[in-house]
Amino acid sequence: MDALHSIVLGLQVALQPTNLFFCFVGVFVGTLIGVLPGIGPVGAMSLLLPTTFHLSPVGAIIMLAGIYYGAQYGGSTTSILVNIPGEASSIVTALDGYQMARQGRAGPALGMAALGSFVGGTVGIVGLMLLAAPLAEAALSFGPPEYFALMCVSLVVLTFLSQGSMYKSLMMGLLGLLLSGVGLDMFTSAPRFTFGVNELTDGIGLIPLVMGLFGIAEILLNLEQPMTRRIYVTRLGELLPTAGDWLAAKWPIVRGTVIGFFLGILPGGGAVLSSFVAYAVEKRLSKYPERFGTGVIEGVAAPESANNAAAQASFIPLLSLGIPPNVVMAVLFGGLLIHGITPGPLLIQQHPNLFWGVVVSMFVGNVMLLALNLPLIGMWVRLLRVPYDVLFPLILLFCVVGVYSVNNSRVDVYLMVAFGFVGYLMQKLGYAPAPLALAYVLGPILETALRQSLSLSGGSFAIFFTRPIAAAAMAVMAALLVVQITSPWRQHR
Amino acid sequence: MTKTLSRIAAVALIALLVTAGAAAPRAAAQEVFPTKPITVWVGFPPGGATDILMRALAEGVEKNLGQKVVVINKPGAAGAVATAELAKAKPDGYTIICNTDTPVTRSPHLRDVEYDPFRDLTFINRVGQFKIVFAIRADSPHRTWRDVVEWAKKNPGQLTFGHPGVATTPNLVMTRIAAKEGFTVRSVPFAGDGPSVSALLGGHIVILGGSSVATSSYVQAKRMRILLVNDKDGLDYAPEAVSFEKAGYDVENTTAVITFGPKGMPRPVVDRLAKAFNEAAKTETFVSVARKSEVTVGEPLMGQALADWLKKVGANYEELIKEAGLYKSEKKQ
Repeated sequence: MDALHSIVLGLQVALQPTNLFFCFVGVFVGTLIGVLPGIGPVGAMSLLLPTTFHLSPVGAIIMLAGIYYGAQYGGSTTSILVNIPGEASSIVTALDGYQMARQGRAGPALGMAALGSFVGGTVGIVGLMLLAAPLAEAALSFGPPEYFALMCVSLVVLTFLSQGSMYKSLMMGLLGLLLSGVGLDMFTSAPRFTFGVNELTDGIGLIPLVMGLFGIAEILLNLEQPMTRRIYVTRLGELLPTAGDWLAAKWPIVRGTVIGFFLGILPGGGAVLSSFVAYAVEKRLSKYPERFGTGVIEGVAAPESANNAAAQASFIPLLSLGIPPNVVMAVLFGGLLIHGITPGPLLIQQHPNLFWGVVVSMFVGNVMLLALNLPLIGMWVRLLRVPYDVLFPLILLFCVVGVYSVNNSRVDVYLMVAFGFVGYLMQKLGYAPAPLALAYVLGPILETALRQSLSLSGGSFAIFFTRPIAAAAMAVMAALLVVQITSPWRQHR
Repeated sequence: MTKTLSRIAAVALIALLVTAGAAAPRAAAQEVFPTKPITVWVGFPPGGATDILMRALAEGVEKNLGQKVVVINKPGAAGAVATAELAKAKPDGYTIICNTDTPVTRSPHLRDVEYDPFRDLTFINRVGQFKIVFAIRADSPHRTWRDVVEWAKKNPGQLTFGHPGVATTPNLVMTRIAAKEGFTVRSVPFAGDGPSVSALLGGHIVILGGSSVATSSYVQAKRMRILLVNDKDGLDYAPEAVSFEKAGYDVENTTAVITFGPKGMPRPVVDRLAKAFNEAAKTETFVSVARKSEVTVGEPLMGQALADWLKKVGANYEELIKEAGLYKSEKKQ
């Protein structure tokens, strides 16, 4: 079957009125849950799963998929407006997005996030259509040693994120790695650092950690300020990015999309990791790296393009090999199974209308999302005019509800509050929370891959240097380290 | 006069209605369980095999009980986090859990847990059991399980084995088989079936142990072959698969999906729930999902009979866990 024929088939399926409706419901719900901090696509999808029992499988998957990529659009909204990442993948967006909002440029930041998301998303879909099968096969050559090497590279990239003191960033990175060790040891099932708390058996959740360190800490910091002073006036007519913004964001969007697409194919925290890497790369390539973190448009454009491209790319392992690379894809796997379809290498062959219908619907969904999100910008910006003594209690309420809803666990709420205080102290003492969060995401993947590799090799570290991909990644890491160690030293002189 | 009479009548009527209204729910609570929605926890994240089975059952259970069934995921440590919390819940039948047997038969041997599986829980019914398989790549030089055993003996330390997590059935079964046959195996835990399937397809491990549902589509696509299965009747999609029994191993172990509640649930409530779950297992949705998930439903097993079966399974797992060197007291030294 040639590509054109397939796309026509996909259009026939995706443009049926019922499927258009499901697509709209999906992206609409996705936008909403993306905006609400903590409440993520997984919860919403599993709640809606039973209602899809009586739908056609194509309609059901179109809707569930819409929730996922829709949430990637919405996630940046609270990051930019109030420094609370709606999803883990929009942590980095908060770094510059929130600063832009404080300078009265919330509109351009939100507009750039939506348009960057659109470009990342649509290019990701094209990649999914054209390259799904070969890329999925290529991703299989990544075994535990390759993952370990890749995670080492990512950890070095972490050091690019640092603002101010490199030592403080490294300390935060180490703290993040340590925190990620809480929970059951994967190789012996022995509890580590749980202090007898039942809920800690499964480790500290990423959502309570992130929302505490960023959101709650931000609220605490603002409590120090007199309430009346902090209303940021947004000039009307500046709701969309300016021509200058476009020029600055052009290449970051392109690079973010490419980074997001390739990292998204790999299992694990694809969308989260790719947003961090895209940001770090832009900072590295920028002529004014010192201005990152103070509200530059590139710092919003790159990660938002990356996390959307990654969201689309993460469909590749599921649809072409039947391997769900993250929890969201596992829910989709379940959805397909309930409809009598076992996802596997034969899915595209056996159910072409499902595959092409869903993929083409993603195009339609991304257009809908853009149309949905651009007019909303004005409304979101006006939200900032709500007095903070009204807004903050509401934000706190949403955070508590959101965090609780992830695992239906009270301990997660306590953890979020505790990390809120930690985050407040960190801000006061000049320690950035972003390296901690990234190290926390990478830690478990790093540890697991290291121990799996050594199990495979019988304890020999040679496994990281005798396999071509792993060895190449190790070489890249060494090169980056050298660059990183020498350049700040030069700057200081 | 008539006015007073009608007023008395009205007051009497109101009094009657009030007392009747107050008495009615009390009587109902004693007679018909359930009178409000039932919450079923799932100790795994959404989209996992246990979660899918429970969501496929929920509709049938709702119809049978005439009440809403609310499925809530409380993931963590293969269901042990949710089990410890459930043990403290009110034993009225409105809060129960659907989980694998792991927190009951295995977790207490691996580490100290906050509950005593046979004292703090009330068992309701067994939903089904997963088929476990050992699979290799389709292009592997090994044709049969015996080939693998002979090769592993000749090449000590070369057999790499991926499984979906430490102390899972495939992990423990392989440890016993290796000890019996006298070969060494490099056992690598992965975070569930998905990652270990990728590792086998990518050639990073030689053999994989996991659930049948994770491998069936690859057998069909001629990317994998199944060598061993824990079902006496074999597998319909892979006729070449040999059962553990035929291969000469006394490992009948499986992973079961069961429902249970906190201790002290009234007998009629347990029976009512067990009946509802057994009836729901006959619905078209569940039968189709169970078949696709490669789950054997088998004869209904409920209440005390289920508890007795779990005790037997638990004792067996205790032995296997000790053989694998994973027993809690061994780790503390």
